[in-house]
Amino acid sequence: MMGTIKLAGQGCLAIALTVLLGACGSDDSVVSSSRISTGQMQATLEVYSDGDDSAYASAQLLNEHSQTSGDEYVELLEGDELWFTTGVNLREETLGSNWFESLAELAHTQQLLAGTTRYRSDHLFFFWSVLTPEKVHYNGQLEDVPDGARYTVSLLRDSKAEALESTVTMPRAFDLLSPTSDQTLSRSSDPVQLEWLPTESDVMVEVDVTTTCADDSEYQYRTTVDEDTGALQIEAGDIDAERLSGSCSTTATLTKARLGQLDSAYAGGSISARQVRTVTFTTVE
Amino acid sequence: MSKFRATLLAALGFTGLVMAGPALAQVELDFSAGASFPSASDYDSDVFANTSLGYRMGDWSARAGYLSLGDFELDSDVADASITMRGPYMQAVRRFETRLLTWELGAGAARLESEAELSGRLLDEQSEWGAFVEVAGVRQLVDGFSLKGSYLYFNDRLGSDVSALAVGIRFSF
Repeated sequence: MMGTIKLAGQGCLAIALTVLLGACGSDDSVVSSSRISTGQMQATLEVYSDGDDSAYASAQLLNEHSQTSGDEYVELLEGDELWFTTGVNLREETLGSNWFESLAELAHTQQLLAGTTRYRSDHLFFFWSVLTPEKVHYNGQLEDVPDGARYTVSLLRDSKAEALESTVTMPRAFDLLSPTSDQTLSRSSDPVQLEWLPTESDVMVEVDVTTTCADDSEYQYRTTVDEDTGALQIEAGDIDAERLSGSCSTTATLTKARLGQLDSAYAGGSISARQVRTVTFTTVE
Repeated sequence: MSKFRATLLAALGFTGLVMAGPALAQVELDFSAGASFPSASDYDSDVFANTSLGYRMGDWSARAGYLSLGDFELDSDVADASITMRGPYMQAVRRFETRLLTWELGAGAARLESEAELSGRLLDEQSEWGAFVEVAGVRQLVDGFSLKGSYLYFNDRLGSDVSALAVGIRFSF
């Protein structure tokens, strides 16, 4: 009898927890793009490059006039599409008289962003992303892109106002010279000296240093500077406020970021481009 | 000669030809399928299909039909891109009888409806006449039923030559 009561009690507890979690959980929802105008959309458009001649774009759209208490993420349906290009927006492209050649070129310079709700674990760029993972967002990739290219992300809509001209120029490629992957530094007594070349004006420098140890303990240090001087020093002890123990793997990610011009058809938001470099080295106590 | 008399004579002549036709003419119904090949690099070959109704008078045939030239996909890892071509056509064919085969040399014009798509989005569409030539070998198997093999060639359709190899059957009655 006591066992039954105990089991029933556990069942009630489980139900109560489920209800509580449901109540406390996010009220975020998804809304079809066919139900809202472009002027109701908040756009977050992010372009990344890691220096391998590829560029990645991620985009997320929110309904500014959400009818729920949480965020309403926009799912693109019924001919609404996001395109990513190093050329002009797709509406301005023409195939001319040589379709076969023109289409082959367009296939390399125009990329449809595909929708997903998966977390972007395939690369490290999410460190500085303001997109909400696990919510519907759109991704695409262009190959063989020129250094410092100007990117355009276009929202094409067959039956509503379009937002074709959100543009941003990627910061130039750079080499992260220090630290190097064969270096071993003391977290408590060695400063981390970051050096890179070349420098560039009108960019913001973002640094993330994450240290992961064998016992799965982790510490993350982040900082941002407004000027690209080619060097930044992290003082000794700053990457280890948690008192990590032993030999650990430390990854420094240096990002040069630039904001672009979002199409005025959106209610608001941002478009940004980031040039990212990472290096992993060893740290000891 | 007045315009009315000329028209009347032309109409009488045409009627005479049509009435005399059945003694000389034969109707041919062709179905064929095969593969089509664009000359543009980076594009894959595709399935070719052709059907036509022909009217044979002696060594000549006049045909009208519909062909699906293909849906040529760009051979690319980065995007789905394709160009589709299809449309109705008219054709004149000269026949040459040999002991083994009947050879047919044809020339025609097709009203090709072409569409270009990138990742499912229609980028452009066009409807335009294009000339083609065809050579075919026909072998009668039984009375009223023949086997046909053909090669068809379009010159410079939207930046690519397109050729097609096909085999098919012909019903004659």
